[in-house]
Amino acid sequence: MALGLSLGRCRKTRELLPWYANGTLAGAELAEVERHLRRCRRCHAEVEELQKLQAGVAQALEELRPAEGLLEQTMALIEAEVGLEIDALPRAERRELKRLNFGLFVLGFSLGVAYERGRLPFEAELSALGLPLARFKGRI
Amino acid sequence: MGDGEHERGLIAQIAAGDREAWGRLFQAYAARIYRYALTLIRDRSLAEEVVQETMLAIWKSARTYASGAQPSTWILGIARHKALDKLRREWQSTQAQAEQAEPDSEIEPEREVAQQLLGERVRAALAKLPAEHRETVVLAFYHGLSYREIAELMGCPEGTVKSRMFYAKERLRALLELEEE
Repeated sequence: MALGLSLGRCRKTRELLPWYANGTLAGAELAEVERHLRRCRRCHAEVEELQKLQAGVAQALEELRPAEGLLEQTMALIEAEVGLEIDALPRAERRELKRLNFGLFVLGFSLGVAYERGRLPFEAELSALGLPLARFKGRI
Repeated sequence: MGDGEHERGLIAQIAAGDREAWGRLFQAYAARIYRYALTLIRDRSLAEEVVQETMLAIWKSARTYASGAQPSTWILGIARHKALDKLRREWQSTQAQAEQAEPDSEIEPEREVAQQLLGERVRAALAKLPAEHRETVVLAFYHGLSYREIAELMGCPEGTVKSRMFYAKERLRALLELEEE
């Protein structure tokens, strides 16, 4: 009877031992396994064997490495994907984006020209803006 | 493998379009994804494609990540989906030739087991397990997942995970002759 109970506990504990060995067991299950291991040498030996197996599996997989340059290749895929995301925008949004780009280009160009000309307003532009030339007399 | 706080932060940054954070996540996970994919599809170039597709999917769907989920389970779940999808497509397109194909020498070496190094011996033994058993062992012993996380990832009851592990362990024990007495 006592042996039967013991084997029953062993069976219940043994199915948790792989997760005791990998350190993911917690709470009541962990406490139960620890309590059982203090008394059962067979299950204790089983844990040692599982830890060896775990080390073997880790080593077996650590030896496998992806090719060099995979990061760069995947980054290139992402760059292409970002490009596709812009292309995939609805036509209205794309048109808006193009208009914004054009606006930014015009602004940049104007600032560039103004910089080249010493950042001073000149006659034609002032006329177009409807500003009286007299205000700027002597400064142009 | 940690509580995943660092990875959660990276995923949040990726969701905001931070490519540097994506690069860091790649560095942390590429090899793990690769090894997991190899467990499932046993082909190096396909496993690398799985890494790329998984990382691309992370870039695109980081915004949908639920912060309560364990990052490793989420990432490996994407990788699993990509790998099984690839396996399905490969199987469909090469079904006729597959039966005559040479086994992948990386995973199924036929040389004498006694002369092989431990890593090779374990890979050879893993290759002889049924696919679900192999996956369970790798998720538990390499990726450090709990049986609950494995059940969630593989979409099966927790009892099934425990039973798969039990049979896998017994078979590995026999194959590797770990029993010393």
